[in-house]
Amino acid sequence: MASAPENEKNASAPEKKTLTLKSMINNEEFVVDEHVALQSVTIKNMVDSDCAGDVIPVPTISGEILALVIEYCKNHANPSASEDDLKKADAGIVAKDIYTLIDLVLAANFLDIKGLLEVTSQKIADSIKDLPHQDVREIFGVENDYTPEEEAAVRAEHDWAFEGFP
Amino acid sequence: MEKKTIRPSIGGSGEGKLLLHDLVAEEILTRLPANSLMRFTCVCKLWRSTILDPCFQQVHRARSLPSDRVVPLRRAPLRRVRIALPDPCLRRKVRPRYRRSLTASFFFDPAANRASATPLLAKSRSFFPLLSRHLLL
Repeated sequence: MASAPENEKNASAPEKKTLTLKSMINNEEFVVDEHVALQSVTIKNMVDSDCAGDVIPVPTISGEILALVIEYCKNHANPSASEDDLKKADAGIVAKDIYTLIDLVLAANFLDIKGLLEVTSQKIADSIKDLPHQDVREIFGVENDYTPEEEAAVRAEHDWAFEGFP
Repeated sequence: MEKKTIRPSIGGSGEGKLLLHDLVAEEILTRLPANSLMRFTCVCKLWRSTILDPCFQQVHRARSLPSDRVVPLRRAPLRRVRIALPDPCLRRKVRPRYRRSLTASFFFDPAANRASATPLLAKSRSFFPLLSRHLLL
């Protein structure tokens, strides 16, 4: 069902418009209803200003991540979904490893989907809050620019926070 | 699980790094409890200056109240705090034995760490929840 352009306008009821999102990383394509895709402010702006063709290329987001984003948008575009259902569905979407979550948060930011950005950030915060700072450095690819003496001094400033940590 | 290497958008060029940093700082760090934040001042210099920045702490406080305590500012001078008391009438109503905890609440308040008096007054409305909580004690 990947790249079939949909031009069926034979039915009497107004046909639901669809958009095709294409990941530029692995060229995977996703056909989604327009109202689902429009939850992304970035895509909405493209459509509103008429710069969206049949296929909307999405740079820097892999197909795997794009699938999660679309799942989120589908859930939240469903008017009959209760708040509880949505919460459960969101929890399912963000039940991923930390590296996937970082990709997801970048995607949510790029596509400007506020709700997804919030749940993903919260999940990342929950998963790193009990980690030692050395692990956090590694996860986010942050270079340690302290000298050992400086680091010891900073640590001493908030010594109480390090109880039980290396 | 195989550990992925950090993607170019994150660890590569300086620009991507800053983008992730903004995101992490704005959205993720403000959702962390205070003790994790204080530990993460050791991650790197940029994280430390972000976490100790009064504006960041204000966002953090807004997000974590009322369930969480506000990050104590080690460097906040207590003396400046008295100027922060918004209303003389309120000060009179507070019995002396509560003054201490009241001052402490301002000490904890990142906004009290601001240098000039004007923003303090402008922000004074946000002090009331803190005030009333102490008066109720």
